[in-house]
This record gives sequence, structure tokens and C-alpha cells, in this order.
Amino acid sequence: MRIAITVHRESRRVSPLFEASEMAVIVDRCRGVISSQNEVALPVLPEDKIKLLSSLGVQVLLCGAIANETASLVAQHGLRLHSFAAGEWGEVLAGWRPGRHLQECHLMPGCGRRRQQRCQNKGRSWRQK
Amino acid sequence: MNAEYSILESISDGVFTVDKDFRITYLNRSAEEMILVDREEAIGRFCCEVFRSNLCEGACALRRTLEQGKPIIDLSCFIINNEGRRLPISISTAVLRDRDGNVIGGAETFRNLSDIEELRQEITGGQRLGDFVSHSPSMQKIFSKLKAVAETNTTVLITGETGTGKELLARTIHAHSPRQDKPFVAINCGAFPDTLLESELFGYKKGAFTGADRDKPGRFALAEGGALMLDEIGEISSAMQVRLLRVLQERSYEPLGAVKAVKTNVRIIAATHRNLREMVRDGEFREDLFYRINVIQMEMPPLRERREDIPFLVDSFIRRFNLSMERNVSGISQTALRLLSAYSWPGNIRQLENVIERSMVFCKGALIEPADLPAELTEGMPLPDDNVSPSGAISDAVQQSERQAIHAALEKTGGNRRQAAQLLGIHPTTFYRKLKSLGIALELPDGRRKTRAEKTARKAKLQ
Repeated sequence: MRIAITVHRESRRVSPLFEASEMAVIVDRCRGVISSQNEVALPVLPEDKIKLLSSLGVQVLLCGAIANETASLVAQHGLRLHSFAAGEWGEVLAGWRPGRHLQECHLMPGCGRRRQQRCQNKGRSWRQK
Repeated sequence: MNAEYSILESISDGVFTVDKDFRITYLNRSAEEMILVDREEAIGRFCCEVFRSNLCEGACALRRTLEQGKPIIDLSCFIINNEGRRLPISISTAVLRDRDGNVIGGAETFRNLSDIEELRQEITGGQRLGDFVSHSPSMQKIFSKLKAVAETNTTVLITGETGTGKELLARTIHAHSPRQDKPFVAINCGAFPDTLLESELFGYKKGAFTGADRDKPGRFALAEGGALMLDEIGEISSAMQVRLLRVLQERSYEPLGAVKAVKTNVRIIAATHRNLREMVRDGEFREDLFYRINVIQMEMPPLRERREDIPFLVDSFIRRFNLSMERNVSGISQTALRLLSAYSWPGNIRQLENVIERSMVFCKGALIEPADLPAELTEGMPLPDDNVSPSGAISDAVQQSERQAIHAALEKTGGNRRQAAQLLGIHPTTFYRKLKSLGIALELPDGRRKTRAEKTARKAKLQ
């Protein structure tokens, strides 16, 4: 499974806002084992970022906050989206399992389980299973 | 709670403070309401993970303030709140010191500009539904039925020349439909050969053909519960027309290599630049499929029939390209704008967008000038007189429209500012702020109060 996670270059934490993210780490992971890891610079416009990730064969996108319109574009390109993630990117990735929600400790404030109605993209796939 | 905090809690601007590690130490009530986060959860977290503005990653205003020791005032940006809503805001930052003058962190205040944005959009005129804005009478027909169409589940056929905004219309229909929370998926049917189009639309099962090493959902599956836009439907082959007709009739399809049909619940929005009726007459398009998709037809007018929209489209493209190209072009000169307005635009809005992008590459000053435009727009065209607006910027025209709308509203309400604000559909505070920023002096008396002269005259009359 190819997973992309948007990362803030300096802090190495998940980029706070997908629309403003400048780079992503793309990993190939099978049964929890990472077989390859690459960094890619992302274009400025959100739709270009999504097109690039889609063209690179990314299947799952883990990112920080994202606007509803952009989340809809992500779904349109067939990527599974887990948004409103926060924390050191390696820990967030290690804590996420396919088909599961992001762990509560890896969500932005106000996006915990008690707030299912908020952060509506969080931990939920926009793609039909 | 001490007096300072009581004040902070009572103001409508959002306020938060951070320590030197950029962790939140305080968040006021308005900030909680705008971001939709409880302060208990926010305190101690990195401010960028609570605030999430487009500046956080590369151009953090608080970081600059703390590094340079200088405040930043009224910087425009946007944040995404916990509902995924984008809020335009303006921020100001300051260094936070203790009683001895030692730096202990920073403070940031932010103001929600959504009302002002809405006002700007309303006052600049035109009709608006979501991202779909127009100032042209030729778009009236579309606007008049857009909401009603959006609320149904009926199949829609959008026609119009290439580049007129058919996909934007389809997105707007979806965004205002009961299916808005479900995906909107678009596919350009003309971009795929028949076999590929079939697997793109319906997907395939693992082992369906050599190289199919896993299940792949098609666009119908991706759009389940939502809407599927079949762009350039006039380009599909007769065989594909039959398959599509079957899906539309039976509301089910079979992915390649599947043994049973999959039910589908997708709203179809078809679009084409071709005349399907003529194609039916010529035997190029199936009549039954045509009637199946042509339940409601909406025709997008070409740009040459909605020239009123050109200045506003230009303005929006300039703002977008300023962001993506890291430029600071403030507008377009009146001469250049009139050249754009006089052109026939065979490629419609997409061509206009490309022309603006190209012009911004060559533009060296603050405004796009005729010399920055491509030759086909200027060749053989006499340059119109340029004696209208001193700056020529779109913002001047916008301000002018704002002034006119405010004056008209005040006149209509006999000078009653609250009613005028209501008439314009904005909050009175925003209205007062607008009056101040536009420098509008109130010549008319406030409708609620009588002047002394009027009172005396009225008294005299009664006596």
C-alpha cells in the first residue's frame, strides 16, 4: 500500500494545513513494514498536489486540516483520506492501520472521538469500501 | 478572573497567546467559537495544530514577530476550522513580555472576515451560488433554475462550448444537493479509449485481465451516494452508449471480471460541447440514451455573451496566480481590460485564464498592460482611450460599486443605517466599518431620529 503523509520540513511533524503543505513523504508499506520511503516537493495549488499524489500511485493520504472542497477533490481522485492528523509524522504513520481511524492522540485538538460530527473527514474514508 | 482576561473574553476578535515554544497558553472564547475547539484541549498544543492558517508552515507571523521583535498588523490569510470550513481572517501579532520586560512568548489576535467577504461579493453585484458567480443577464436562466435542479435527484445535461465552466456548474449543482456530503466524481469520457473507459467507469476485479493484481473500484463506485459527471458524453462509442444506457435504466453494473451486478445510487450529470440532438438525427448518438440523460438541460453561455463577467474573472485569476506564482500584481490597466472585453474568446473562460497566466509572466509592473497581452488580442485592434480610472485596478471598480450600493440602501431606508445593513444582508457592525473604510459621510439623517429643525417644525405643525 502506498501512503502519502504531508510533512512540515523543519519540524518533521504532520503539516498543519494540506492546502499550504510544501512536501510529502511517500512510503510503501506492507503488513506494517516500510519497503520504500521518498520525499516529494508539492506544488502550490491543492488540485495540483492531489493530481501529483494520484499520478504517483498514492492510495492513502494522511494530512492535517483540509477544507471540505479539497477533501472532495481527494475523493474524486480515488485516494482514501485521513485528515486532521497531528504529531511527529513517523509516529502518526506507525499508529495508523489500514481500515482504522487515526489514533485519538494523533488528531488535532477538537477532533477526538467525542466530536464525530466535526472534522468530518477525520479517520473516515471518503472512498467507498 | 482578572480584568484583562474579562476584557479578552468579551471581545469578538479571537485571541490566543503562546509560550516561546509556540505552545498555546491562552485562548479566548471567540477563538474557541471560530476554530470550534475547547480551550482545555487547545492549551499546551502547538499553535499551528490549533490555528491551522495557510501561513503556519512557511510564513508564521508569530515566529517573525518573536524573531524581529516587531508586531504585525492586519495580515490577511485563512484558516480551516474543525468543520473543514475555510474562514478568511486578518491577523495581528505582538511580543508578550512579563512585568520585568522579559519576552515570554507572543500574542495573536484574529478577526473573521467572512462577513466582509460576503459583503464584497454582494456589493460587487451579480448572482452567486457557491463558487458560481455571474454579473451577466445571460446567466439569469441558469441561476433561476439552479437551486431547484440541485434539490432533486434528476439527471442533468449541461451543454455549452468548451471552457465555459460546465464542470463548475456541475460541482455547484452537487454542492447544493442533498448529496453534498457524498463525493462528486468527474470523468472526461473523451479522454479514454472504449476499453479503458469501461474499466474506469465500472472498475475491475482482481484477475480480470493480465496485470489486474487487485480490485480497482470504478468511478461509479467512487461516486456512490454522490454525483458522477460524465463530461464529453458525446464522444463515447455506440457500444459504450449501450452499456451506459443499461446502467442508467437498471441502476446496476458489472465490474470487469465480476460475476454479479453491483447496485448503484449515483446522480448522473452529463456534459457535452456537441449538439446531441443533431447527433441523434445523424445517427451518431442513441436516441434512447439522449432522452435518458436529457431530463433537465442547462446551457452555459459562451464568454462573449457574458462580457460583464470578464473584469471579475480577471480579478479572481490575478489573485489566484499571485498566490501560485508568488507575484504581487495588483490588477489590470483599463486599456488592457478593454482589449480583453472586446475579444471574441473562442476558448472561453479557460482561454481567458491562460491569457492572464501568460500576461502575469511578462508583467513587470503593478498592473497588466496591453504589451503583456498575447499578440492575437492586440493585433489590428485600435487601443481604446485610457481616461477612465486613475489606477485602473479592479479594486477601484469594486469600491465604487460598494459606495453605490450603500448609498442606494441608505436612500431606500430613509437613512436608517440598521435597516440599510439589513437590506444589504450584512451585520450592522460590518456596515459601519464599511462606511468608515469607504469614507462615506452620512448626508442623510439617521432614519430613527428627527433633527432639531424637524422636531420644531413638527411641533409647530401640531400646534
